[in-house]
Amino acid sequence: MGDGLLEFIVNTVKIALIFFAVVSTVPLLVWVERRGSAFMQNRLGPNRVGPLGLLQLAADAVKFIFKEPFVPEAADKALYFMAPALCLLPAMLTFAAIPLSTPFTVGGHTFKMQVTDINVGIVYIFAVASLGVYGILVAGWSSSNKYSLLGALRASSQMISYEVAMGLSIIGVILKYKTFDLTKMIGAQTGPFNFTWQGHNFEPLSWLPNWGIFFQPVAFILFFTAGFAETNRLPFDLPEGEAELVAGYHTEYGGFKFNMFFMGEYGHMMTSAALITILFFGGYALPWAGGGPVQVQEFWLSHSTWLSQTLSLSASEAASVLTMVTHLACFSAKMGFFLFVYIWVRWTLPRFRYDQLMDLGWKTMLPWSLANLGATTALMFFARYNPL
Amino acid sequence: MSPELARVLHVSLNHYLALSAILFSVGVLGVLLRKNAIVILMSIELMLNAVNLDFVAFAKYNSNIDGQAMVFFVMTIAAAEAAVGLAIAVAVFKRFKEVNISYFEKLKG
Amino acid sequence: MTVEDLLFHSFAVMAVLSALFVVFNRNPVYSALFLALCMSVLGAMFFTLNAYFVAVAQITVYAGAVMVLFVMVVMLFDLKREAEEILKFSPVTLAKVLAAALLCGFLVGTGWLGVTAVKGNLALHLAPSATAADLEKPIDGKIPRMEEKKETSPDEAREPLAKVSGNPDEDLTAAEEARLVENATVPESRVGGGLEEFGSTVTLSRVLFSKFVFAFEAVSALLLVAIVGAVALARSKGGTHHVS
Repeated sequence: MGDGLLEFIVNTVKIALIFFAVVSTVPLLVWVERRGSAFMQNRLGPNRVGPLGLLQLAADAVKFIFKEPFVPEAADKALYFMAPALCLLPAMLTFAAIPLSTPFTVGGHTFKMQVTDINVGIVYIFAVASLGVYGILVAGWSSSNKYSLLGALRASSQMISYEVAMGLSIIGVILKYKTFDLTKMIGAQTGPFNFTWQGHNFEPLSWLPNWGIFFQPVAFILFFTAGFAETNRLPFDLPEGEAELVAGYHTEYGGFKFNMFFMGEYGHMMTSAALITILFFGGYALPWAGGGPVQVQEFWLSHSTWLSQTLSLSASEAASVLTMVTHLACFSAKMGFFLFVYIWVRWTLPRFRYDQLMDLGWKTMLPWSLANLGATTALMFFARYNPL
Repeated sequence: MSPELARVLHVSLNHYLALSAILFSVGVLGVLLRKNAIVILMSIELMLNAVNLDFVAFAKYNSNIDGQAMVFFVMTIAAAEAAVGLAIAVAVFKRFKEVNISYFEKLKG
Repeated sequence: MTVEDLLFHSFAVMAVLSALFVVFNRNPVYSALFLALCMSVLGAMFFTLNAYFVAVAQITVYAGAVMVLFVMVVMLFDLKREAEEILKFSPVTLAKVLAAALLCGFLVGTGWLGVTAVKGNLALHLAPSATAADLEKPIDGKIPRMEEKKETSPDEAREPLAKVSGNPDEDLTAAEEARLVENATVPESRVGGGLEEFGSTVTLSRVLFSKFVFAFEAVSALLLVAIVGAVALARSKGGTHHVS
């Protein structure tokens, strides 16, 4: 059972690593949110606990763990306990199909930097993200509280509406790269800008990287906006609106369960940011690195003797490890930028009213995504065939 | 583990058909036993899912992709039927404030 | 017992248990949530059956949309836990349970007998030229290991498809796909193989848009009718049940 057992162990380790990575990035994100929002609002954020206030979140976590686990009397106990886990689960599951970096080889075995490399990658991510509605519904229902139920119904109908727009806006990108697989999409976005229109090559633009945003700008705007609505972030966070609904579907949750809701929301945010970088900004590929990961690996082949000596690996293995680290850093930087944009927008824009929100989702974004799909198809057809 | 037991437990088409038959009959039991209209609709969805499993199993074990295309259509029709069935249930609930089917026996002789 | 066998058996147990919960639980919210679980488990089983697109469609459509609709309707109706037992001791209930059990036995028996009589089952264990008599022979203790898990190679799986598929896609040639793959340095082993593998979206859509295109278009018209009908039925003012 040697090979199968190793594969099983490796996958288990990867799952555990991704889980812990997501869970430990959430405090960092919350710190960025609190300090960043403070600076945007011309005040200091938490700056007493630890250097620059970095340990504030650790203190908050300790506080959450020691709070009284208060359960409302009329609540449905089983569903009340299950709801935070149901919120957290899809956020973690979607990370399984996201390629974090190039694969690396150590000791003869190749490890891919994603838990599974599914050939229907992006559709799997949308499928699992659509399961996030259950956590919200169950949380609102089991609290046996009018405001929670109202918030839950609003949040779930918002999520369902924007899922449609999000899925449709991505079809243009899928048509362009002709694959569902995220790794292949990243592979197609390496190198300089490459677009032919009936024989013309667009040479002057070849200083741009070959990113998806230059091919699908409308899809990027739609997907970015729908991402806000999917994760219930401002300007679409009416379901959690403090002035209207106390705290929406997590009103009756305190302590660690509330923390789990938070982790689920930030996990969804990280998935959206990761998807934006993969679909529109080249994922883990470095922007001006020639032919992509192959070029980077060749660069490291000549510069990695120090690593191969310290860890006694062969030259190509050390090069693959360093390539993986480079691309992981690039991916984290891009994803971090978009997470910062999420936080930035939250503290800049006012909130949508509920009917404005639903109008935007169904009457504006859905027709625009269909128009984007039609325009993409037409352009792809006319790029090859000259009817004149 | 004896070879006979291992052979019986090794997954073949029969196993998928047996699972699908069990799920289908649980759905039939739900339609027969339950009085709540919405749970009856849910049991119908369960039956349709069992049929989907059958189609996909046959598609794999006969290497014929037509089974998966059939699943596509069954899924679409089941979704449409669930939507319309629930709309009817909503209309009935608004009028009678009840979804228990034993209240709707006015046509009985 | 390979890992895939274990996976099937655990999924099967989960699916049957959640289906039983759907039917025998007195709280309709729990029934709806367990049905969503059952559908997700079936979606996972579709993955092991090499039906990748159908699996994600199952999770997106069934577990993510249809069951959300059920759960929201049950929550809006505020249905309470049912007062009476579901399995009462009456002759009618006994007849119903017996009928369902007989149906189950009939289906399992027909399936088992039908499948062993057909060639389809033999291809798994034996060569294509084997006969029914070969099934009686024991497999001499050789249980397939995880390395040999791909029973049908891509070439074998592609042959029946070649008869029904339409024109091959001109855009993404094998060279282009190789370049894509090379750029991303994807190693060999992955779930789902390449574009042309059995159960991938490409093979499914080829059949869907050539052999079943009429059904495809008819189903989209049916969906439109269902949308209009559902909205008409459930409107508060001007709906079909509106008492004016």
